[in-house]
Amino acid sequence: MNREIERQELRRHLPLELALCLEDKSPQFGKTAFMKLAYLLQELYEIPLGYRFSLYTYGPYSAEVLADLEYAKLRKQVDVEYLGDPHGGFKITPGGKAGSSGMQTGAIGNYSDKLRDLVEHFGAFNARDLELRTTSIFLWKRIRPTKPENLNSVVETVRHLKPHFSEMTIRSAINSLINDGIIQYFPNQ
Amino acid sequence: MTVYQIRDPVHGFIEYDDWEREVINHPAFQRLRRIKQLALADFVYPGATHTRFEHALGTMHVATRMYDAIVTRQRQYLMTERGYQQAGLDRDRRVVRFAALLHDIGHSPFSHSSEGLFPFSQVDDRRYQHEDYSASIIRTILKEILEGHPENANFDIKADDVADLIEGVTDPSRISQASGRRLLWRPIVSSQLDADRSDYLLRDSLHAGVSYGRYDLDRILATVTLGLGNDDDPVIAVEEGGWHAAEGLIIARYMMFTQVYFHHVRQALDHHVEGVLAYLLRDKRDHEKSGIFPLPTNVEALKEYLDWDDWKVLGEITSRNCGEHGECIKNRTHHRRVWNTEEVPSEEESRTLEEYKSNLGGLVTFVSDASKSWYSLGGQDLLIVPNEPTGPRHGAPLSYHSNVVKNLPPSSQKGIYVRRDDRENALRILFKDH
Repeated sequence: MNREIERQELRRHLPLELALCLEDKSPQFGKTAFMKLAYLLQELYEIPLGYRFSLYTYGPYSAEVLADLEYAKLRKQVDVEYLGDPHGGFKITPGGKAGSSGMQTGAIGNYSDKLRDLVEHFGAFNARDLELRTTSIFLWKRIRPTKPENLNSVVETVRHLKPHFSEMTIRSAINSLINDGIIQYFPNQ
Repeated sequence: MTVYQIRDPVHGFIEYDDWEREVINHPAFQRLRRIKQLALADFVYPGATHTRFEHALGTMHVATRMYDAIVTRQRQYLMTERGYQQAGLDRDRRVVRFAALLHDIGHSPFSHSSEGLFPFSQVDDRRYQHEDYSASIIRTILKEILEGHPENANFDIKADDVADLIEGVTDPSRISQASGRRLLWRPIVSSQLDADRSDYLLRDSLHAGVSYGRYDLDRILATVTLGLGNDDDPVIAVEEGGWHAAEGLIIARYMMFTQVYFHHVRQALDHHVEGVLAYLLRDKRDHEKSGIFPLPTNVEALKEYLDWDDWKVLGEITSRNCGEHGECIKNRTHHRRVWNTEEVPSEEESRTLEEYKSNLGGLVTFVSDASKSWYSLGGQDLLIVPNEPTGPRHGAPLSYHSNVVKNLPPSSQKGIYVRRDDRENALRILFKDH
């Protein structure tokens, strides 16, 4: 399978697979969560989805991710429902024509371990927690800290983008990513 | 500082100053006069001959109006919560204007039609986009003119500040308190409600001579503000009083997509433009095996890239043999669509598409797909917030207010094309009684 066809196949099945995986795990699997989990799958777990993420104040974002969700909704693979007050936000669930998981047969099945890992580590986070963590990871990968003393610069940079998070909250989120082995210090060049 | 005015068919007079004038006069910007906004859409809509040059000016104008409207509405929040003072607001206004003015400076000939010939990045294995070229041109070729103007002694604007608003911050060492908060304004340059789209819908509609793209820009500007997203980050939003205008924008975009951007003849011509450019790029000795544009990663390659524009390509098509695709453009013998799905194909239609492709075999030259178009309509919701002037508020998506937007599906229409001379044969194969 050439890489472009594989990308299309993966992106076609991603909304449904995540909706199935997160049905009982996520507090609310909505559009923001989908965006951030797609980012993690591509950038952290290296699944070749081919999205072009760039940084906004609300973290890494790619309009193509939401476009793919719209097409999955159109195919009735997933339902995307706005919950309204008091919860707010969207909820993505398997749709009327969801069919079965592509894990056994589709290209996404090659990455089932990574999907499971993603769900285990990030599935229980809400949108706010995911935004903070993906922003931190985006910056971590570019700052490339080599030792714990460098952590301050990552925390400070995240805070410049997201001043409504306290320094303690940001530091705690990054430390948990380190402790869980999600991110590591880079070796000295 | 002298203020200049230029007359624009959409917005009336657009103002710019000496500093911006120097940028506009730079050859890299003047090149936009030679890149048509809608490629060869004038084969269908003869008036659609406008260029990226006037769109860039219009985008700067709309971006400024958006910025001023938001600052007016949220001044207190910006000053107390985000630490802005007037000098900071003035500086960011300048950066937003430059970013909007230059957002398309990296377009290839015939705009989006030839983007399939951008090379892949060796860093992340993704195809470069015109925004990558825009940002690189700003960071290198335009750096001196942006940073070296005497007026910049008052602002200390860096070329990176401008490029970061277009492609996002790529180097975290540039993220300070000031540059971090400046990303607040990035959605004015690139989002569902950005100045780019706000301008091109009106402009394309006017020049094409269709009314589908018209919407109430003044009402949107009278209600555009900051709202709060999921994690309490400020995002660009529209007050409830403006949601019908926002709905109008989404409908305008939908209509322009189906009637102009994804017109079946335009799709054929885009296919031929890409074919001609692949031919010409292969024809150059240094791209002999590639058929793709030079990389955006070094100045020499960027200069070579900037040498390509519509005039050069049309000159080549006119003066010599550019292969089958060149002849199709020159003689308007473009490939013909022989069958298409509805805008939202049913499962049965999707099966029919595969069956027809199989039946036609080698007669099929390409299959158009709306979901892969640059103008694709997916994910087009906007945030609508209460009319409260006391700072950003949480709100609800436009699709919650508007049944039209909620039920407006993105088009994923597909079409099968064959050579003009094969059309009758193809129709006979597909429909025996044709």
